[in-house]
Amino acid sequence: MTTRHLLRSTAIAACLVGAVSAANALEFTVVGPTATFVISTRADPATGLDGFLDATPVAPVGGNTGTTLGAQRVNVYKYVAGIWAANVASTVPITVSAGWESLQCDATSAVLGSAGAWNIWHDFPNSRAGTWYPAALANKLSGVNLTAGQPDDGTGFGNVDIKSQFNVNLGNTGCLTGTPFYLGLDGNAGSQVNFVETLLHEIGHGLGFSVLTVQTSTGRRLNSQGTAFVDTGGLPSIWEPFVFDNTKAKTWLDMTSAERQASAINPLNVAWIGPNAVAGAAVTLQAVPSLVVSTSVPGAAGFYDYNTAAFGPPVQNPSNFGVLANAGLGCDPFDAATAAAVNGKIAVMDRGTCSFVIKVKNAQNAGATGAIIVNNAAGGAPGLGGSDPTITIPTVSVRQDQGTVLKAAITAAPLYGTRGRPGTVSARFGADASRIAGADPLKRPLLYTPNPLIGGSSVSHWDVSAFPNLLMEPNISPDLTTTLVPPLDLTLPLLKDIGW
Amino acid sequence: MPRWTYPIAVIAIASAAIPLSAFALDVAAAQDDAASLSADAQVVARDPVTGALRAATADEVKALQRARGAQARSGSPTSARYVHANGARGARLTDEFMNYSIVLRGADGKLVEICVQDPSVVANPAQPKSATLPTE
Repeated sequence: MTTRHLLRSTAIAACLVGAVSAANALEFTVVGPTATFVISTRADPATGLDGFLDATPVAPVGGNTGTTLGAQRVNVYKYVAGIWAANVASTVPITVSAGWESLQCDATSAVLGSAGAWNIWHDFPNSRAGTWYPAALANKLSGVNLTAGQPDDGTGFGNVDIKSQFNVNLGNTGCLTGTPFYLGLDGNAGSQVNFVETLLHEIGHGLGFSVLTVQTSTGRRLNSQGTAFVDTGGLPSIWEPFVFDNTKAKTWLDMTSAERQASAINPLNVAWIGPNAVAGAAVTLQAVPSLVVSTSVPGAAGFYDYNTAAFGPPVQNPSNFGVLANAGLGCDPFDAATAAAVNGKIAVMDRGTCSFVIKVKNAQNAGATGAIIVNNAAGGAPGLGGSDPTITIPTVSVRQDQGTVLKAAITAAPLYGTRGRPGTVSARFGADASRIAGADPLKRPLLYTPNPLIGGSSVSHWDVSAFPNLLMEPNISPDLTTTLVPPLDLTLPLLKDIGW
Repeated sequence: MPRWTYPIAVIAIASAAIPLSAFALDVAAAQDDAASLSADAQVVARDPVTGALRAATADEVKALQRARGAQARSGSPTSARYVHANGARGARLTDEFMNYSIVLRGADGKLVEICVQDPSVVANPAQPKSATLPTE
């Protein structure tokens, strides 16, 4: 790693209050080849303690040599800031406020943390006129720290570019019990929560990977004074010129609030058209993984979308799947005829009436070597949840419309063979080279615009259909790397499109 | 490099177990002038020259409280507005603009980590934990 990490541990504010421990803060600077990050820590308002100073002894883990919890947390921030400092370029130091706080959680779920731009600017030198920018980018473009000199709000961090906070209790009893942050730097998080990826993702939002000042639930923009979201007359964010709705055939820049509101819930039809990300997508995103069906039944052969199951062995792509056989609903142990039909084949079953694992276990018991669940409602192929460690055959789902074609083809197939060799329908796992996973027909990367809206997630991420997985998808996947550029990722190209 | 380069930072310090930031907000929203500060509260400011903390002047306390009061009354999505000498206009955002990473453990025991703006799905039994895959 070429980044030089320079730690300046500076005792900042000794706000000693009664019997509460001193809440010293740290400030550390990470100097990279093209940018500098200045990270200031702050205390948890609930306890007055700074989690970066937590002296709890811990063993070094995954390349993180810290021997206290606080030191390891500092090391991860330094590591992630170093990655960003080697990718973005600015002559103005990028300031980040960092805290470990008591955030919402229970035994099975938790707020891991959050981050975002803390200040915004418009109409500064070298900016697009009448456009809101996140502070770090505004500073880079204008060449000065615009927020410096503005009155603070009493918090001590009011003027930072990015505010971040993470859950100090994660892994403790009652807070995703037993699953703390993994503070190693090597990506081997196992069943723990990978803090490096989480922080890398969140700082990305803070640098500008965000629709920022548009209220996606209404399509309204923040006005030029920053005092209200308004239907008309608000300023666009720097995000908007690059967001293109293929249905409306226009960018968000040219839409009314109502049109932006509708576009935010227009799945798989909203693309990013910035030239850097589009060029990056061409060498990053791959063909859509598909179930490739072969048969002589007219109209049935071709590519079928599929989704995977949380139970059973993972699907290998590419690989052969097998010959398909209809098995109805599959909720009861298979009768003799059905068992004979699916033995040594892939059992195709309709979704509904009972759980996925019951269906698949019945198919497995009848000798099936795999299973396909056909959705019972319009929409995509659903992810299949459930748990049964005794299931040993792979399972996937398909869309309702495609499953209907598939089932009819299986029924009709024998007629398309010969007397001695009846026709069949078989499938393998492959890719549809005519489509790019996570891109529109013009191969421009898609933004995440699910219906219904997921506030804060919609529009401010890449679509979940992207393959391979990208850092700035809403789901933080275990197979991510810390590379921000093609052919592994599209984060930096997008940031370059908005001005980085 | 000084940690902060703005002219003055005003920090409220409360007694005993009252969280620092919560106290600062409460004081600012509830009080109209410096004279009405409670006896167990102090307000300090960071000197722009030395960087050291010192007692805030009455004018500084008033400025803090006016700003807080105005924010509380305005209903504005931003907490402060700026005009730069070069003509640029700016604003300070709030936690409402943050992107949250949350993690949910599904029925299969696997963790799903997603990024949202409304973290209320966590610790809210009335809300479906949508990241959990359907099981039938």
